[in-house]
Amino acid sequence: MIPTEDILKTLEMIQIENLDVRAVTLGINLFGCADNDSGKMLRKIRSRIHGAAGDLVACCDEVSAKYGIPIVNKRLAVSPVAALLEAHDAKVCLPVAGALDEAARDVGIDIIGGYTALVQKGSSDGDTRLIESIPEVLAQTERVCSSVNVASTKAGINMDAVCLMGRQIKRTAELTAAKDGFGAAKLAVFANIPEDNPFMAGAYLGAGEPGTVVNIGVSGPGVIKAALERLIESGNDVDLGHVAEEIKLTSFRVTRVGELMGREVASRLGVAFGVVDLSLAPTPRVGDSVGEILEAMGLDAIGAPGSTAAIALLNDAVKKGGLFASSSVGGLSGAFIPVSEDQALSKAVEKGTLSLEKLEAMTSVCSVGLDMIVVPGDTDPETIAGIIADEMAIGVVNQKTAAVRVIPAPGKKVGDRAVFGGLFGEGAVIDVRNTGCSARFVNLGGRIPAPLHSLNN
Amino acid sequence: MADRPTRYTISVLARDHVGIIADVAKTLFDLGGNIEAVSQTTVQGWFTMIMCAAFPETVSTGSIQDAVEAECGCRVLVAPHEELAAPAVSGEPFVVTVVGDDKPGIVRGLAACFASRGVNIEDVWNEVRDGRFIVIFHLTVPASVDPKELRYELEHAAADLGVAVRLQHQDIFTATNSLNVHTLQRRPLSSETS
Repeated sequence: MIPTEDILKTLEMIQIENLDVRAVTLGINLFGCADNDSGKMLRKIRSRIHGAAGDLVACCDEVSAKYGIPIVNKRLAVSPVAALLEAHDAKVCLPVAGALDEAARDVGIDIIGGYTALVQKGSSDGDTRLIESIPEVLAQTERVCSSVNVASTKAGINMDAVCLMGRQIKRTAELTAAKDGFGAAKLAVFANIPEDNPFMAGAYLGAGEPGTVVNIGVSGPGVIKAALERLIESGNDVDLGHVAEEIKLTSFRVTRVGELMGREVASRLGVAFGVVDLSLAPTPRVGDSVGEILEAMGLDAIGAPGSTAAIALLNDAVKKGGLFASSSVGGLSGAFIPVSEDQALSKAVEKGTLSLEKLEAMTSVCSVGLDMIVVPGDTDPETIAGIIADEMAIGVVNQKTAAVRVIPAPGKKVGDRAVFGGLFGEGAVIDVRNTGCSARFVNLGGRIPAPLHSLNN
Repeated sequence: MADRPTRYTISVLARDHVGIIADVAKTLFDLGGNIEAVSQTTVQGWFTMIMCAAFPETVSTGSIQDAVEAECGCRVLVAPHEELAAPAVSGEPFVVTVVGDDKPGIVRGLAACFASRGVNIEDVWNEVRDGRFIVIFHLTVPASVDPKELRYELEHAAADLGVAVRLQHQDIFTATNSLNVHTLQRRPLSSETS
């Protein structure tokens, strides 16, 4: 018999503290859909997605009802689409993206990731076609998300790809100017992209993964914040060791929810269970914010000195608690700081306490990178490439995933707001200092060599 | 202990105080009894305990009742023990939690709902906390009952009673509170799949 207090504790996490499963993402390998005949290929893509994901939403709803825990997002992540484009010309890019978009709609899914190219060491013909098509694809489809891996710890940083992505982000935002550049919110540039990440916009299914697999993204910023507030208000003599311990315990509970429900979804669908991604993923709701956790830890302004140490503590404790809860951990697994999707972070940018530079520092000790940051619409592509290069360097040197998802909102200036809606949220345009000063460097191109793996001082 | 012990089921009710179990156990020991199973709880200052104990053949129900009531200041009920099979309800373990304003009829209404579908209540806990009335039912839901339909019916009953009700599989509480989760996953899935 479960003790009464344990039941009440779990209920409180669900009802008051926004405990949920943030994402059930079904990975689907599409390599078998390759065909020299583009019409046949499109039919195979639709058929494969319909077959694999037709029951996903109903199945998630049933499991959600059984355990009384919401599954917020049901998503699809396909194998890198660039591979399907190798034998075709550029004209097939939009129809392929359209097939993904329609198939996702048919099975009741709002986002599908995997319009992806992996070019950390160089680009194939398919990769080049895919990257060239990204702005049009993201402007003309509703559900498709795109990611490009331009760097890795083993390969270094492909600066030609970094420069190209600076231009493509800018172009994507311009083509979706009516929505404040929303297209760029569906595009992430990565270093060390994980093959099993369930979170968008960077979810795709890696070549080493099962043909069809369920990966789970847990959540729980609100649960951790509430636990810390209770701890600090308890009147006991609390130090940061106690704070870390409380986060670990809470992360354990949150991860267990993801593991239990993810395995059941996979079992019901008859597919492999992949990983639980331990990431703390905020939403724009009050009480579901990573920024609020930093405030609960005692920071009066997010971005103040101490913010990097606080997020490092949080990130590490989340992983330690989660790792004990599940032996199937993967994906990004860390605390996210996506600015527009987190109301406390968004407010801090608006107030001017949180700068781009401080965000960059924080990403060196947490997941996943410079995420959902609105920059002025007139930011030049080379400056965006410079922002990407800096973040890639953090990922490559620290042997971690790092990503950039910035939105140069057309026509917007520092202090203006960009509104994306839903889970993408809204945010004030952040100040980018020293714009126009990076072109000579990034345009040198070539590859920044991989870092040393010894002499680690 | 005599060669042919006689078993009795003994129920004890008393105002809760320190030493009550010691007093009862000593009294039974002095009668030559051996306690074989016991379950005890308290509710709002009242102590209750149910036991199965074996005694020499010469000890009667009346002598046990008289001794315990006299020595321990309890109300006691004693009956010859019968070996009973566990309730024949098999199925999946679910937990129903009810939260709302206190008023007569909440437990009655929901328990009637369970009974009409053959759902067994394994345990029930009920308390008023911070002005909120809370009930927790531990249930065994037979395979023949569709949890979705049960949930619908409970929500309907709860709406009439003005309370909030949740039906959740027990595993979610085990997962969030117990170190052991992997053994659970080897169990067959509930009837909700079919």
